[in-house]
Amino acid sequence: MANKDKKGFNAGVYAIAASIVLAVVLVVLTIFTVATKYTAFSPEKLAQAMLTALFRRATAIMHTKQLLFQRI
Amino acid sequence: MAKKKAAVAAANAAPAEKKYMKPSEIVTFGVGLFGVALLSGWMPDYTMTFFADFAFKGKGFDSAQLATVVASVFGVAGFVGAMMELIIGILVDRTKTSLGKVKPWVGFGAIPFAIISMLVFMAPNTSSFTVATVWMFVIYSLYIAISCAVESPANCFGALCSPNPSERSSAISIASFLRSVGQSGGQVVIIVVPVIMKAIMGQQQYKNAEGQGIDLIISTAVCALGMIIFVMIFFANNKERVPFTTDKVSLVESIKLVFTNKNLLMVSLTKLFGFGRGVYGTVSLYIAVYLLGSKGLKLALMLPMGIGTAVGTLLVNLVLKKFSTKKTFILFCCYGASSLAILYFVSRGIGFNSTLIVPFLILNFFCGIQHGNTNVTPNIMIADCIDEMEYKTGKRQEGLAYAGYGLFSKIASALTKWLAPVLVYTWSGYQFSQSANVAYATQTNDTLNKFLAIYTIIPAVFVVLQFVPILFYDMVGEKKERITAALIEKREAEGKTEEPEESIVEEVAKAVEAQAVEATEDGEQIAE
Repeated sequence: MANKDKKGFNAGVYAIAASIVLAVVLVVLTIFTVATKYTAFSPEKLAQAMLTALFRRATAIMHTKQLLFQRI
Repeated sequence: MAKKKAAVAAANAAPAEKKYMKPSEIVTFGVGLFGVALLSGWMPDYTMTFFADFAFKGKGFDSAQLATVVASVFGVAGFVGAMMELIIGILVDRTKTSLGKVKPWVGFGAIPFAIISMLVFMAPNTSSFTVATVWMFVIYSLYIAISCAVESPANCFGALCSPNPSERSSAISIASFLRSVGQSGGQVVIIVVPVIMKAIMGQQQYKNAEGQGIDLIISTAVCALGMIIFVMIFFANNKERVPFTTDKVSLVESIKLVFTNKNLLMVSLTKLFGFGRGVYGTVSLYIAVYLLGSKGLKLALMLPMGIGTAVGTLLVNLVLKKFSTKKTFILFCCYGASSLAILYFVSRGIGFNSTLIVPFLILNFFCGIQHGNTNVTPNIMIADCIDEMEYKTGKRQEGLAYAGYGLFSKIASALTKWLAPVLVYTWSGYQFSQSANVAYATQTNDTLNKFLAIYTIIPAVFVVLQFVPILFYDMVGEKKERITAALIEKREAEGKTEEPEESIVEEVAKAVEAQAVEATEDGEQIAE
């Protein structure tokens, strides 16, 4: 399995080590991203996201209303 | 990777009967390509939807501005990819290590490739449009550059795995098949991850997570982990056995060669003129979302087309026995444009609703048949052009001819990557979802009809444009027969005639490899 060259580089050992290290890095990155992005884990973040969405919706409605009144 | 042609030629001198590879090596070569395709096969289209629909949702960015930036990001990345292909080709040729020339690029490059793929789906939490724009340009260009540094050498390994042409062709065929499976495998992960998420989180929580692109992040992590494991199996078990020749293929010379040979120029222009043919690949994701109901079902949409492509490849070989390459190419282009037009008019007639699903998938199969032609016929035409050049100049310049054609192919690919998002996000009037809990916003009928046009009529126009240069191609009929006879005579006189069985094996190996590389460049799936 392992291709060991004259200088002692062991491809098999490198392959196993790289796979393990990468697996750990990928798991950490995934947990970090999901924890920071997914609001449902934190009730505060969820509430904040809902408020922001409501605020944006209200702003958009006000803007449309203003445009309509301007035309009338 | 034009140098692989030189390596193939060099390897002809080696004994043809001896087997060099262990059976496990043939399998692990395929496993390595499967691993790379598992990640790279689906990334571009899903990155596009991530940037446009998920990365900056709720940040209040202007939709039109965001659409323009996404199109520019993919256009620039396309050109970065084309440049990187050339640069990596040169760097691979200069690599001299005890592991070989190609293996270090694949084995060591896989680590940054996995990490950068994850970072693509980790958008910064910023309200600044400038920061978002810079991040998209930098991260996607980096991804393209690193994926080129791994994918191109991996595709090139087939030419180095054995000096025995027969053994090499078997290894390349198996590896190409596994690479195609890998491209679909990545999309299967995109289907399976949401199913597991739904089972664990429940439907409503999954909707929230999907709205924030969480399913894409987890799918990337799964594919990146799979990629690293499969690539490392290849890295540990496979050996390079064919030394590359020192023949240098100069880019300037290859361009000069294309422009001094009319027929080769016409075949190369065909690739360039048909650049918009590939835009259907990008919009297919949105057709999957709005027609089939999920972005994961892109695979289901593309499967009939892939089967059609496989059937088309067999059909082209039959048609080529009756007609010349020129007539076959034109015939299949006319068929392709007509089938796409029929799909458009049938879809418009039925309307963008669930009734359309079955007819759409059936007609998709018939649309796929034309791709068999674009996969096979230009490769035969290039081989004929090389014969013509040898007849005229006495020199056989395969490496230069393939490099010249490859350059046109890469420019076309970059143009496709720019045009597709312009059409999908700007021209169609696509509405981005503003709600964190809704993945894709409802679209107007006009937008959905434009999606259909991007999938059908617009590629049909480019299919027609594609055959225009071929009208001026004349390496057919009496001329081709005369040149072929003269070259056979010349080789017999020089005593250089090769064993016919060996040359057939070699041709098969080259054709399989060329088709697989072209499929990767076009971002097309399965059999294409």
